[in-house]
Amino acid sequence: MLTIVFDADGLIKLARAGILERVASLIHCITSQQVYNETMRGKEKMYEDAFIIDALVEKGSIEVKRIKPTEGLLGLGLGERSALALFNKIQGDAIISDDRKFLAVLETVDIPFIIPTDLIAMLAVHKKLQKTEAIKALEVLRPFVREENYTAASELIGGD
Amino acid sequence: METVAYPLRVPTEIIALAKLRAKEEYVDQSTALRQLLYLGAEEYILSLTETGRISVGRGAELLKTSVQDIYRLAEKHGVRLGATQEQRKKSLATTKKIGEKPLP
Repeated sequence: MLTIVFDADGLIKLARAGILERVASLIHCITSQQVYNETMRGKEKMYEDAFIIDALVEKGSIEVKRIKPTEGLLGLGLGERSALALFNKIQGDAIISDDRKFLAVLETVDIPFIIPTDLIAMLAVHKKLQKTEAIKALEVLRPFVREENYTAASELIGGD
Repeated sequence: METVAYPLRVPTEIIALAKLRAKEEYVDQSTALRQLLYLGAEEYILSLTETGRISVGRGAELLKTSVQDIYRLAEKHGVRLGATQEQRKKSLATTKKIGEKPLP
């Protein structure tokens, strides 16, 4: 089974897209305690994605690990630094994130990453998501991602 | 949010704005001034995040808010945060590589 490490961006976007549960049933989803805590701050303001993430962690579909964050990375938050440390420790397959700064750091240390819109497209291409579900998920994410990334993923699954 | 006292000369026009905001928002003048400062900080954090100088998580830490709030702010200001075209190409390469592994 694929093992993917999530930062807050990856968890929140896939929860909003309504496919995090499906992803967790297909992929070993793992995150750090700091990322989990970061996303849970959203509960104070009743962001639905925070409740979805919490329920999946409670159910054991998303694994949460305690880890010491990587030090000395300017411009990254505790969550991203701990996700990086977690990836290095468990040697997962990739990190899911759409955070420009975080991805730039991952590029410098040659860590593979996937942006949420590409993951949705990949699941649709492999018929793990119906085309209509994938298109709907991308539509939900559209206001939160760069238009070019939305369009590219949409084209991959044969949408408009 | 933790605060510190800081000596500052403020343009009279900004004080006038703070007075106006204080009346409209039913807050005292100092609070109105802090709110204006915070609004400026929010925009600045968004621009740093958009250009990839800081991450969304770091932005949320600096504003003492949640990651979800940063997205809400970005949406409000019409700012799209996310991977660059180059990063997307790398993401796609990883997706293709990983896609070769069987999914249950």
